[in-house]
Amino acid sequence: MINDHLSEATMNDLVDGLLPAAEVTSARAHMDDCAVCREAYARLSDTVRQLRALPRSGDAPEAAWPAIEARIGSAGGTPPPATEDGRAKVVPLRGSGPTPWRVTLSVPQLAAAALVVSILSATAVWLALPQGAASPASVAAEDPASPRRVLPVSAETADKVAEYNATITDLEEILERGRVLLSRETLVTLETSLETIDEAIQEVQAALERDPASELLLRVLMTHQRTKLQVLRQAATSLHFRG
Amino acid sequence: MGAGAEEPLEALVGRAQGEDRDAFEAVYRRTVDRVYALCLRMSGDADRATELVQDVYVRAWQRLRSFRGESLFTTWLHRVAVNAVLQDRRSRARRSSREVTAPELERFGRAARVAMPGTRVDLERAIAALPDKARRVLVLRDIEGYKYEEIAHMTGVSLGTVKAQIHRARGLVKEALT
Repeated sequence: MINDHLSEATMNDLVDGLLPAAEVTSARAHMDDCAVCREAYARLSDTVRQLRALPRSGDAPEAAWPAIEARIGSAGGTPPPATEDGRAKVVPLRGSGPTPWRVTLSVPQLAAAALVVSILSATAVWLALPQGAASPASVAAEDPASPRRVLPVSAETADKVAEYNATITDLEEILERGRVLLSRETLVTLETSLETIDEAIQEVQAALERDPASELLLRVLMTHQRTKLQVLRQAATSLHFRG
Repeated sequence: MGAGAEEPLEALVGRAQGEDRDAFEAVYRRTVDRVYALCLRMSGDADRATELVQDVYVRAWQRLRSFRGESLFTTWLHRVAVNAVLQDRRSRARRSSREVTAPELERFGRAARVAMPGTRVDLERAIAALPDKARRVLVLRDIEGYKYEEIAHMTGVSLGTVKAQIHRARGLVKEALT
Protein backbone atom coordinates (compact mmCIF):
# COMPACT_ATOMS: atom_id res chain seq x y z
CA MET A 1 0.00 0.00 0.00
CA ILE A 2 1.31 3.43 -0.99
CA ASN A 3 0.79 6.22 1.51
CA ASP A 4 2.69 9.10 -0.06
CA HIS A 5 0.70 10.05 -3.14
CA LEU A 6 1.86 12.62 -5.61
CA SER A 7 0.91 16.13 -4.62
CA GLU A 8 -1.46 18.23 -6.68
CA ALA A 9 1.39 20.61 -7.44
CA THR A 10 3.58 17.78 -8.71
CA MET A 11 0.83 16.49 -10.98
CA ASN A 12 0.17 19.95 -12.35
CA ASP A 13 3.85 20.59 -12.93
CA LEU A 14 4.01 17.27 -14.76
CA VAL A 15 1.07 18.25 -16.95
CA ASP A 16 2.69 21.62 -17.63
CA GLY A 17 6.08 20.11 -18.41
CA LEU A 18 7.63 22.07 -15.57
CA LEU A 19 8.80 19.17 -13.43
CA PRO A 20 12.58 18.60 -13.38
CA ALA A 21 13.63 15.51 -15.33
CA ALA A 22 14.64 13.54 -12.26
CA GLU A 23 11.27 14.18 -10.64
CA VAL A 24 9.45 13.23 -13.83
CA THR A 25 11.10 9.84 -13.72
CA SER A 26 10.25 9.46 -10.06
CA ALA A 27 6.63 10.56 -10.54
CA ARG A 28 6.08 8.21 -13.46
CA ALA A 29 7.63 5.35 -11.54
CA HIS A 30 5.27 6.11 -8.67
CA MET A 31 2.26 6.10 -10.94
CA ASP A 32 3.29 2.74 -12.37
CA ASP A 33 2.66 1.31 -8.93
CA CYS A 34 -0.11 3.61 -7.66
CA ALA A 35 -3.52 3.33 -9.26
CA VAL A 36 -4.89 6.28 -7.28
CA CYS A 37 -2.28 8.70 -8.60
CA ARG A 38 -2.41 7.16 -12.05
CA GLU A 39 -6.16 7.75 -12.20
CA ALA A 40 -5.93 11.25 -10.73
CA TYR A 41 -3.21 12.22 -13.18
CA ALA A 42 -5.13 10.81 -16.12
CA ARG A 43 -8.18 12.88 -15.19
CA LEU A 44 -6.15 16.02 -14.67
CA SER A 45 -4.26 15.68 -17.93
CA ASP A 46 -7.50 14.95 -19.78
CA THR A 47 -9.12 18.06 -18.26
CA VAL A 48 -6.20 20.25 -19.26
CA ARG A 49 -6.16 18.73 -22.73
CA GLN A 50 -9.83 19.60 -23.16
CA LEU A 51 -9.25 23.13 -21.88
CA ARG A 52 -6.40 23.67 -24.30
CA ALA A 53 -8.52 22.38 -27.17
CA LEU A 54 -11.27 24.93 -26.63
CA PRO A 55 -11.70 27.43 -29.45
CA ARG A 56 -10.27 30.86 -28.78
CA SER A 57 -12.93 32.50 -30.85
CA GLY A 58 -16.65 33.11 -30.42
CA ASP A 59 -19.39 34.92 -32.27
CA ALA A 60 -19.44 38.46 -30.94
CA PRO A 61 -22.79 40.28 -30.75
CA GLU A 62 -23.47 42.39 -33.81
CA ALA A 63 -24.41 45.41 -31.73
CA ALA A 64 -20.93 46.12 -30.42
CA TRP A 65 -19.48 48.12 -33.31
CA PRO A 66 -21.99 51.02 -33.41
CA ALA A 67 -21.33 51.64 -29.73
CA ILE A 68 -17.57 51.60 -30.31
CA GLU A 69 -17.90 53.92 -33.27
CA ALA A 70 -19.97 56.32 -31.18
CA ARG A 71 -17.44 56.29 -28.35
CA ILE A 72 -14.53 56.84 -30.69
CA GLY A 73 -16.40 59.71 -32.24
CA SER A 74 -17.44 61.23 -28.93
CA ALA A 75 -13.86 61.08 -27.71
CA GLY A 76 -12.94 63.27 -30.65
CA GLY A 77 -10.55 60.48 -31.03
CA THR A 78 -7.81 60.15 -33.45
CA PRO A 79 -5.09 57.71 -32.49
CA PRO A 80 -2.42 59.59 -30.53
CA PRO A 81 1.01 59.67 -32.12
CA ALA A 82 3.71 57.28 -30.96
CA THR A 83 6.70 58.57 -29.06
CA GLU A 84 10.39 57.99 -29.53
CA ASP A 85 11.28 56.04 -26.43
CA GLY A 86 8.15 53.94 -26.26
CA ARG A 87 7.62 54.84 -22.61
CA ALA A 88 6.19 58.30 -22.76
CA LYS A 89 2.60 58.36 -23.86
CA VAL A 90 0.29 60.89 -25.35
CA VAL A 91 -2.71 62.12 -23.49
CA PRO A 92 -5.43 64.16 -25.11
CA LEU A 93 -5.98 67.09 -22.77
CA ARG A 94 -9.43 68.33 -23.39
CA GLY A 95 -9.57 71.95 -24.41
CA SER A 96 -12.58 74.07 -25.09
CA GLY A 97 -12.05 74.20 -28.83
CA PRO A 98 -13.14 71.59 -31.34
CA THR A 99 -9.67 70.13 -31.70
CA PRO A 100 -8.25 68.32 -28.67
CA TRP A 101 -4.91 69.61 -27.44
CA ARG A 102 -2.29 66.88 -27.46
CA VAL A 103 1.13 66.89 -25.89
CA THR A 104 3.67 64.20 -25.25
CA LEU A 105 4.41 63.62 -21.58
CA SER A 106 6.19 61.16 -19.33
CA VAL A 107 4.29 59.46 -16.50
CA PRO A 108 5.32 62.02 -13.85
CA GLN A 109 4.48 64.84 -16.20
CA LEU A 110 1.17 63.18 -16.95
CA ALA A 111 0.46 62.90 -13.26
CA ALA A 112 1.24 66.54 -12.69
CA ALA A 113 -0.90 67.60 -15.63
CA ALA A 114 -3.74 65.41 -14.49
CA LEU A 115 -3.64 66.98 -11.06
CA VAL A 116 -4.08 70.42 -12.51
CA VAL A 117 -6.88 69.29 -14.75
CA SER A 118 -8.62 67.37 -12.01
CA ILE A 119 -8.53 70.25 -9.56
CA LEU A 120 -9.88 72.66 -12.13
CA SER A 121 -12.51 70.24 -13.31
CA ALA A 122 -13.65 69.17 -9.89
CA THR A 123 -13.93 72.75 -8.76
CA ALA A 124 -15.93 73.66 -11.80
CA VAL A 125 -18.27 70.72 -11.40
CA TRP A 126 -18.99 71.31 -7.75
CA LEU A 127 -19.54 75.01 -8.31
CA ALA A 128 -21.89 74.24 -11.15
CA LEU A 129 -24.01 71.80 -9.22
CA PRO A 130 -27.39 73.11 -8.12
CA GLN A 131 -27.42 74.45 -4.61
CA GLY A 132 -31.15 74.30 -4.07
CA ALA A 133 -33.54 71.50 -4.74
CA ALA A 134 -32.01 69.03 -7.07
CA SER A 135 -33.38 68.71 -10.52
CA PRO A 136 -34.77 65.28 -11.26
CA ALA A 137 -33.14 65.44 -14.64
CA SER A 138 -30.16 63.19 -15.02
CA VAL A 139 -27.36 63.67 -17.42
CA ALA A 140 -26.02 60.40 -18.72
CA ALA A 141 -22.70 60.69 -20.46
CA GLU A 142 -21.07 58.30 -22.91
CA ASP A 143 -21.65 55.05 -21.08
CA PRO A 144 -24.71 54.81 -18.87
CA ALA A 145 -23.54 51.49 -17.45
CA SER A 146 -20.42 52.99 -15.99
CA PRO A 147 -20.51 54.22 -12.42
CA ARG A 148 -18.10 57.00 -13.28
CA ARG A 149 -19.98 58.29 -16.27
CA VAL A 150 -23.37 59.08 -14.81
CA LEU A 151 -23.83 62.02 -12.55
CA PRO A 152 -27.36 63.24 -12.02
CA VAL A 153 -27.32 67.00 -12.31
CA SER A 154 -29.34 69.60 -14.08
CA ALA A 155 -29.00 69.78 -17.81
CA GLU A 156 -27.16 73.09 -17.55
CA THR A 157 -24.18 71.38 -16.00
CA ALA A 158 -23.86 68.76 -18.70
CA ASP A 159 -20.61 70.22 -19.98
CA LYS A 160 -19.13 70.19 -16.52
CA VAL A 161 -20.22 66.62 -16.00
CA ALA A 162 -18.58 65.65 -19.26
CA GLU A 163 -15.43 67.40 -18.10
CA TYR A 164 -15.58 65.57 -14.80
CA ASN A 165 -15.95 62.25 -16.61
CA ALA A 166 -13.04 63.11 -18.85
CA THR A 167 -10.94 63.94 -15.81
CA ILE A 168 -11.79 60.63 -14.17
CA THR A 169 -10.88 58.87 -17.38
CA ASP A 170 -7.57 60.71 -17.58
CA LEU A 171 -6.71 59.94 -13.97
CA GLU A 172 -7.55 56.27 -14.44
CA GLU A 173 -5.34 56.28 -17.49
CA ILE A 174 -2.51 57.77 -15.44
CA LEU A 175 -2.97 55.11 -12.82
CA GLU A 176 -3.01 52.37 -15.39
CA ARG A 177 0.19 53.58 -17.00
CA GLY A 178 1.89 54.08 -13.68
CA ARG A 179 0.99 50.73 -12.14
CA VAL A 180 4.58 49.57 -12.39
CA LEU A 181 5.71 52.47 -10.23
CA LEU A 182 3.52 51.45 -7.31
CA SER A 183 4.18 48.67 -4.85
CA ARG A 184 1.91 45.67 -4.97
CA GLU A 185 0.47 46.54 -1.56
CA THR A 186 -0.30 50.08 -2.64
CA LEU A 187 -1.85 48.90 -5.86
CA VAL A 188 -4.07 46.35 -4.13
CA THR A 189 -5.17 48.91 -1.54
CA LEU A 190 -5.87 51.47 -4.21
CA GLU A 191 -7.86 49.12 -6.42
CA THR A 192 -9.81 47.78 -3.48
CA SER A 193 -10.72 51.32 -2.47
CA LEU A 194 -11.80 52.21 -5.97
CA GLU A 195 -13.79 49.02 -6.24
CA THR A 196 -15.60 49.83 -3.02
CA ILE A 197 -16.35 53.36 -4.18
CA ASP A 198 -17.61 52.09 -7.54
CA GLU A 199 -19.90 49.66 -5.78
CA ALA A 200 -21.24 52.47 -3.61
CA ILE A 201 -21.78 54.64 -6.66
CA GLN A 202 -23.64 51.85 -8.39
CA GLU A 203 -25.88 51.32 -5.39
CA VAL A 204 -26.80 54.99 -5.22
CA GLN A 205 -27.38 55.16 -8.96
CA ALA A 206 -29.71 52.19 -8.72
CA ALA A 207 -31.57 53.91 -5.91
CA LEU A 208 -31.76 57.11 -7.95
CA GLU A 209 -33.33 55.24 -10.80
CA ARG A 210 -36.11 54.25 -8.44
CA ASP A 211 -36.32 57.66 -6.80
CA PRO A 212 -34.90 60.20 -9.24
CA ALA A 213 -36.16 63.23 -7.29
CA SER A 214 -34.30 62.39 -4.10
CA GLU A 215 -31.98 65.23 -3.20
CA LEU A 216 -30.40 63.12 -0.48
CA LEU A 217 -29.44 60.38 -2.91
CA LEU A 218 -28.08 62.95 -5.31
CA ARG A 219 -25.90 64.43 -2.59
CA VAL A 220 -24.68 60.99 -1.55
CA LEU A 221 -23.81 60.21 -5.13
CA MET A 222 -21.90 63.46 -5.45
CA THR A 223 -19.99 62.64 -2.29
CA HIS A 224 -19.01 59.23 -3.65
CA GLN A 225 -17.98 60.75 -6.96
CA ARG A 226 -15.88 63.33 -5.15
CA THR A 227 -14.26 60.60 -3.06
CA LYS A 228 -13.34 58.71 -6.18
CA LEU A 229 -11.82 61.82 -7.67
CA GLN A 230 -9.79 62.39 -4.51
CA VAL A 231 -8.50 58.82 -4.43
CA LEU A 232 -7.46 58.99 -8.05
CA ARG A 233 -5.86 62.38 -7.50
CA GLN A 234 -3.86 61.02 -4.58
CA ALA A 235 -2.70 58.16 -6.77
CA ALA A 236 -1.64 60.63 -9.43
CA THR A 237 0.23 62.62 -6.79
CA SER A 238 2.03 59.49 -5.68
CA LEU A 239 3.04 58.73 -9.25
CA HIS A 240 4.21 62.28 -9.68
CA PHE A 241 6.63 62.05 -6.76
CA ARG A 242 7.79 58.53 -7.61
CA GLY A 243 8.56 59.48 -11.18
CA MET B 1 -15.76 51.32 -48.64
CA GLY B 2 -12.08 51.60 -48.08
CA ALA B 3 -11.53 48.43 -46.11
CA GLY B 4 -11.62 45.46 -48.42
CA ALA B 5 -12.13 42.00 -46.99
CA GLU B 6 -9.00 40.68 -48.69
CA GLU B 7 -6.66 43.35 -47.42
CA PRO B 8 -4.06 41.96 -44.99
CA LEU B 9 -4.70 42.77 -41.35
CA GLU B 10 -1.40 44.55 -40.89
CA ALA B 11 -2.18 46.80 -43.84
CA LEU B 12 -5.55 47.63 -42.33
CA VAL B 13 -3.85 48.44 -39.04
CA GLY B 14 -1.47 50.74 -40.85
CA ARG B 15 -4.35 52.60 -42.44
CA ALA B 16 -6.17 52.76 -39.11
CA GLN B 17 -3.07 54.34 -37.58
CA GLY B 18 -3.55 57.03 -40.19
CA GLU B 19 -6.98 57.75 -38.68
CA ASP B 20 -8.92 55.71 -41.23
CA ARG B 21 -11.99 54.62 -39.27
CA ASP B 22 -13.24 52.33 -42.03
CA ALA B 23 -9.96 50.47 -41.76
CA PHE B 24 -10.34 50.30 -38.00
CA GLU B 25 -13.82 48.88 -38.39
CA ALA B 26 -12.39 46.24 -40.69
CA VAL B 27 -9.74 45.48 -38.07
CA TYR B 28 -12.52 45.17 -35.51
CA ARG B 29 -14.51 42.76 -37.66
CA ARG B 30 -11.45 40.59 -38.29
CA THR B 31 -10.50 40.36 -34.64
CA VAL B 32 -13.59 40.81 -32.50
CA ASP B 33 -14.64 37.18 -32.21
CA ARG B 34 -11.48 36.25 -30.37
CA VAL B 35 -11.57 39.33 -28.18
CA TYR B 36 -15.19 38.61 -27.31
CA ALA B 37 -14.45 35.00 -26.41
CA LEU B 38 -11.68 36.18 -24.08
CA CYS B 39 -13.90 38.80 -22.45
CA LEU B 40 -16.80 36.39 -22.04
CA ARG B 41 -14.72 33.61 -20.55
CA MET B 42 -12.78 35.87 -18.23
CA SER B 43 -15.72 37.95 -17.05
CA GLY B 44 -18.25 35.12 -16.90
CA ASP B 45 -20.92 37.65 -17.83
CA ALA B 46 -22.21 38.06 -21.36
CA ASP B 47 -23.50 41.61 -20.87
CA ARG B 48 -20.27 42.75 -19.30
CA ALA B 49 -18.29 40.96 -22.01
CA THR B 50 -20.03 43.06 -24.64
CA GLU B 51 -19.18 46.22 -22.72
CA LEU B 52 -15.60 45.07 -22.29
CA VAL B 53 -15.30 44.50 -26.02
CA GLN B 54 -16.25 48.14 -26.48
CA ASP B 55 -13.65 49.22 -23.93
CA VAL B 56 -10.98 47.13 -25.63
CA TYR B 57 -11.51 48.65 -29.06
CA VAL B 58 -11.83 52.19 -27.77
CA ARG B 59 -8.52 51.71 -25.93
CA ALA B 60 -7.00 50.09 -28.99
CA TRP B 61 -8.03 53.05 -31.13
CA GLN B 62 -6.66 55.54 -28.64
CA ARG B 63 -3.32 53.73 -28.43
CA LEU B 64 -3.07 52.52 -31.98
CA ARG B 65 -0.05 54.56 -32.86
CA SER B 66 1.93 53.09 -30.01
CA PHE B 67 1.74 49.78 -31.89
CA ARG B 68 4.96 49.58 -33.87
CA GLY B 69 4.75 46.15 -35.39
CA GLU B 70 7.29 44.65 -33.01
CA SER B 71 4.79 41.87 -32.35
CA LEU B 72 1.77 40.64 -34.23
CA PHE B 73 -1.09 43.08 -34.05
CA THR B 74 -3.33 40.31 -32.73
CA THR B 75 -0.87 39.73 -29.89
CA TRP B 76 -0.85 43.43 -29.05
CA LEU B 77 -4.63 43.64 -29.20
CA HIS B 78 -4.97 40.54 -27.09
CA ARG B 79 -2.83 42.11 -24.40
CA VAL B 80 -4.97 45.24 -24.48
CA ALA B 81 -8.01 43.00 -23.99
CA VAL B 82 -6.47 41.06 -21.11
CA ASN B 83 -5.52 44.29 -19.35
CA ALA B 84 -8.99 45.70 -19.86
CA VAL B 85 -10.58 42.66 -18.26
CA LEU B 86 -8.11 42.48 -15.40
CA GLN B 87 -8.52 46.15 -14.61
CA ASP B 88 -12.26 45.97 -14.84
CA ARG B 89 -13.67 46.52 -11.40
CA ARG B 90 -17.22 46.77 -12.47
CA SER B 91 -17.54 43.17 -13.60
CA ARG B 92 -16.36 42.08 -10.18
CA ALA B 93 -18.80 44.40 -8.48
CA ARG B 94 -21.70 43.53 -10.69
CA ARG B 95 -21.23 39.82 -11.03
CA SER B 96 -23.25 37.49 -8.89
CA SER B 97 -22.94 33.76 -9.06
CA ARG B 98 -24.70 33.63 -12.38
CA GLU B 99 -23.56 31.16 -14.97
CA VAL B 100 -23.15 31.86 -18.62
CA THR B 101 -26.34 30.66 -20.24
CA ALA B 102 -26.68 28.18 -23.05
CA PRO B 103 -27.46 30.81 -25.71
CA GLU B 104 -24.32 32.67 -24.69
CA LEU B 105 -22.31 29.50 -25.06
CA GLU B 106 -23.65 29.12 -28.56
CA ARG B 107 -21.62 32.16 -29.47
CA PHE B 108 -18.42 30.23 -29.08
CA GLY B 109 -19.13 28.67 -32.43
CA ARG B 110 -19.72 25.17 -33.57
CA ALA B 111 -16.39 23.90 -34.79
CA ALA B 112 -15.08 22.59 -31.51
CA ARG B 113 -18.45 21.16 -30.57
CA VAL B 114 -18.21 18.99 -33.65
CA ALA B 115 -14.74 17.94 -32.61
CA MET B 116 -15.78 17.17 -29.03
CA PRO B 117 -19.50 16.40 -29.06
CA GLY B 118 -21.23 16.62 -25.73
CA THR B 119 -18.27 17.81 -23.70
CA ARG B 120 -17.62 21.40 -24.66
CA VAL B 121 -20.71 23.05 -23.26
CA ASP B 122 -20.18 21.25 -19.97
CA LEU B 123 -16.61 22.46 -19.95
CA GLU B 124 -17.65 26.05 -20.64
CA ARG B 125 -20.21 25.86 -17.85
CA ALA B 126 -17.59 24.54 -15.47
CA ILE B 127 -15.27 27.42 -16.36
CA ALA B 128 -18.05 29.98 -15.97
CA ALA B 129 -18.93 28.61 -12.52
CA LEU B 130 -15.39 29.04 -11.19
CA PRO B 131 -14.59 31.76 -8.65
CA ASP B 132 -13.54 34.96 -10.39
CA LYS B 133 -9.82 34.88 -9.78
CA ALA B 134 -9.56 31.18 -10.48
CA ARG B 135 -11.46 31.54 -13.73
CA ARG B 136 -9.36 34.43 -14.97
CA VAL B 137 -6.03 32.77 -14.41
CA LEU B 138 -7.25 29.43 -15.76
CA VAL B 139 -8.43 31.08 -18.97
CA LEU B 140 -5.13 32.91 -19.34
CA ARG B 141 -3.10 29.77 -18.77
CA ASP B 142 -4.96 26.87 -20.32
CA ILE B 143 -6.99 28.54 -23.05
CA GLU B 144 -4.96 31.59 -23.96
CA GLY B 145 -1.59 29.93 -23.38
CA TYR B 146 0.18 32.49 -21.22
CA LYS B 147 3.06 31.35 -19.02
CA TYR B 148 2.69 31.34 -15.26
CA GLU B 149 5.23 34.15 -14.96
CA GLU B 150 3.35 36.28 -17.49
CA ILE B 151 0.09 35.76 -15.61
CA ALA B 152 1.73 36.67 -12.30
CA HIS B 153 3.01 39.88 -13.88
CA MET B 154 -0.32 40.74 -15.46
CA THR B 155 -2.38 40.08 -12.37
CA GLY B 156 0.10 41.54 -9.91
CA VAL B 157 0.17 38.52 -7.63
CA SER B 158 2.97 36.16 -6.78
CA LEU B 159 3.94 33.24 -8.99
CA GLY B 160 3.11 30.81 -6.21
CA THR B 161 -0.36 32.26 -5.79
CA VAL B 162 -1.02 32.10 -9.52
CA LYS B 163 0.03 28.48 -9.67
CA ALA B 164 -2.09 27.61 -6.66
CA GLN B 165 -5.11 29.35 -8.21
CA ILE B 166 -4.68 27.54 -11.50
CA HIS B 167 -4.19 24.19 -9.83
CA ARG B 168 -7.31 24.78 -7.79
CA ALA B 169 -9.26 25.84 -10.86
CA ARG B 170 -8.22 22.76 -12.77
CA GLY B 171 -9.29 20.62 -9.86
CA LEU B 172 -12.70 22.28 -9.74
CA VAL B 173 -13.19 21.87 -13.47
CA LYS B 174 -12.11 18.27 -13.25
CA GLU B 175 -14.63 17.61 -10.50
CA ALA B 176 -17.37 19.42 -12.40
CA LEU B 177 -16.84 17.19 -15.40
CA THR B 178 -16.94 13.99 -13.38
